[in-house]
Amino acid sequence: MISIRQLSKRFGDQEAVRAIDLEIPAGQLVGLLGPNGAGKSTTIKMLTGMLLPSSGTAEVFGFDVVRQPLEVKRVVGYVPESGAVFESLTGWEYLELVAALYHIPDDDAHARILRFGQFFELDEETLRGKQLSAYSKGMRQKVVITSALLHNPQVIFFDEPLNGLDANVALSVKTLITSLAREGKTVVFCSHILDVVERICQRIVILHQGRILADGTLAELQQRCGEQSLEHIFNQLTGTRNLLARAEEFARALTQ
Amino acid sequence: MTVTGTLQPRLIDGQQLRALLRCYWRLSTRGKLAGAVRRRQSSKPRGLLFIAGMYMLVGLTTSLSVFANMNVFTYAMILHSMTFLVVGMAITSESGDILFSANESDVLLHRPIHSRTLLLAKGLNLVGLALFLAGSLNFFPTVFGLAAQGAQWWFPLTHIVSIALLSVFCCAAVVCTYGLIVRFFDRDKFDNFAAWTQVAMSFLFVGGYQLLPRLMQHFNGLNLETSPFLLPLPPAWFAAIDAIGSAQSAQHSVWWLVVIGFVATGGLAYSAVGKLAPSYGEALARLGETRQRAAKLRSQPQQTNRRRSSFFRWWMPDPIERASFRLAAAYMHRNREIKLRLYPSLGSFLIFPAMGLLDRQTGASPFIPLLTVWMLGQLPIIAMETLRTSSQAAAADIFATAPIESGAPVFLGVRKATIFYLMVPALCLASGLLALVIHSRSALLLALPGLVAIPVVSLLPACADTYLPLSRSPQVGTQSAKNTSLMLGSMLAMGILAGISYVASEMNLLSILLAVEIVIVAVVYWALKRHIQNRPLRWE
Repeated sequence: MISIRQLSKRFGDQEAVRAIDLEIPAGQLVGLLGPNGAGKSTTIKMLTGMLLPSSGTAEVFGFDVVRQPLEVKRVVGYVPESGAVFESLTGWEYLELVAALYHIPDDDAHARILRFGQFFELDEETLRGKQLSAYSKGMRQKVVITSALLHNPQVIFFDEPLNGLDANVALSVKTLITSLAREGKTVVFCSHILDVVERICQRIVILHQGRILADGTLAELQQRCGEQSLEHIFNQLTGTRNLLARAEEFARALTQ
Repeated sequence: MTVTGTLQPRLIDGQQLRALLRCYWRLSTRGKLAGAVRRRQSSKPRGLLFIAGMYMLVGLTTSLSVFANMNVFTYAMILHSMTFLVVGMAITSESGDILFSANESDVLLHRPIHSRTLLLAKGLNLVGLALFLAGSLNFFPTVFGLAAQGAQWWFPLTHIVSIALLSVFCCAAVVCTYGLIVRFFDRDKFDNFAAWTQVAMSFLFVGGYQLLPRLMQHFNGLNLETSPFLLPLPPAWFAAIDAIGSAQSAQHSVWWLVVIGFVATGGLAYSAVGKLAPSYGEALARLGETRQRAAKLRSQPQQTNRRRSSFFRWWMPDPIERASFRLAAAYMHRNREIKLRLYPSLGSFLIFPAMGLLDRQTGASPFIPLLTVWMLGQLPIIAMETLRTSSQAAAADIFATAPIESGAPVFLGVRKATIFYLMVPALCLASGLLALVIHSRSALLLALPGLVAIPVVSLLPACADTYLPLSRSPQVGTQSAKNTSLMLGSMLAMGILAGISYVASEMNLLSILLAVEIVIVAVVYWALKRHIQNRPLRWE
């Protein structure tokens, strides 16, 4: 479903993604982890056709991201970390716009918007009556997730999708994500909340400085690193040593 | 759920185009809440409505020229020159936000939209704005045109067509210019080159407008329609459509102008959407990339840095003022959005001393120094108003969460940054040009009243309400509305000041006038500054 070979991205002198190889079959839920600046968002942007790779190839659902970007975009759903929307539109108008961009007929689009609204507990009055700039962060995030799933994509990229969601909605979204994977969708889940990744992802890929450091199931990573929690595995592979001691020392210095 | 509907690849997709146009229309005409503290901006397009009213008034005044026994071509030439200036300047200053909106990449770039559809939607959005402005400006002149010599009853219809074509021409020219820049320059060079190209475009629009009276003076008593000098002037091409379409008798030579007008407009529109769209799509993707070189600051010798920071510490003892100064300076130098809105204004302000150079042979007007200094005095206001608006408006919440009693130090820091980085260099440049053009000491002295008034004028942005930089979200039309109203307002004030200064100079009372002005300015400055400093920083 996603096939990446020697994919690289350079910004001037800096290499953000360095010749990565990755195969993700249909129906798999993959957690893509990495410290800040590891190259996660750049990789996702290349896979969604937003950025051109500097070298290498990538195919999504059989379409080449460089030669067939529009075909790729038609089968991909993307929840950006920024949660950006057109804030002067109402939620309804924004979702209608997204539906039109994917050629979903009006009646069908309205029915889907209402179904998502019901799932996320966004009533029609709010969706139709309020501009997105008046929504709370959580409500806006619900609209962003809806806009990514409205066209029933085959491959879905979630970049910090739980931002701003309350515990109940976050639980619903996590269940939705795992259910989508069970239904045969390919899901790439980027998050810094490691215990969520640990619980819902079937496979974990850790990026660091543009390279893949680790790729496998949680059990495989535990065996490789000799650590139990993903947090410790992540810290061992990518972090600075003695983090806890350093944090304690810094807090003491700060309060003195 | 399954995806239904057509999914065939098409270059211009009608359904997507309609949806995008509907979206852009809504975005243009609505306000929104900005930032976490929810400062509501107007939900009505007040900027656009205000500018429409103002332009209708300007149009009404201009249309009275028809009673000076003018033929259709000359009258249309005046109208098209004015429209060319107004529409060209507005489109130049709004196009950066419309074509390269920073917020749009995460919303639209991962959707299956062909760059040609997206560019056409944005181009039509620009044309809509241009038609709105041109329509307001020509509302009265279109009707009054019936009084032109030899005009037929259908003049209004012909004029509507020619104005629409002129609007399309201006938009296509701006889009093409950007298309060429993004095709030939990478991400790092794009920002600076685009900003300076905008300066050049505004210089051309204002300069082109200034050429008209000189051309008419040159052809005084001769037939303007037969002049070969008109061939490269876009307003003449569209004025020729009026002359051919609705004058009882028009010169055969104007047919050439009509042909050039149609070919140029069609060619530019085709190139913009047909040829340059692929590079536009790539450019949008590139703009989403991280900048590499731009963030690097030029390293300066340590001694220069030390001297500069001691000067700033002396000039701005308040640390909030210094911090705001640095914030404004960083945005003026580095932020693409601010540069694309701010720099075009510079072109229009520097054109006046440059036009003085053209008039050197015939004798430059004694008002040029006064005019130049006064116009440059408006630069801090324009810059401060530009710095008030940003797509990163939510970040201005930092002023709400910080323990600041009044917004005055923030405003004063931004004001000083605009004076230091914009007005002082522009004034030095203008002074050099004036020294070349004006040799009369008395004419140079006429600039002093304008110079004295600058400190008070630069306090105006914070008089009505609290000034905070980067705290308002951009709205279509507001930038050009502000620039135009400031320019017209300052021209009116300048006219009064010029009149008083000239009379005082003729009566050898300039020194007394200056002394009185200095006292008034000092009192008003003190009162305004106190008013700004005493206003507490409150959030609605």
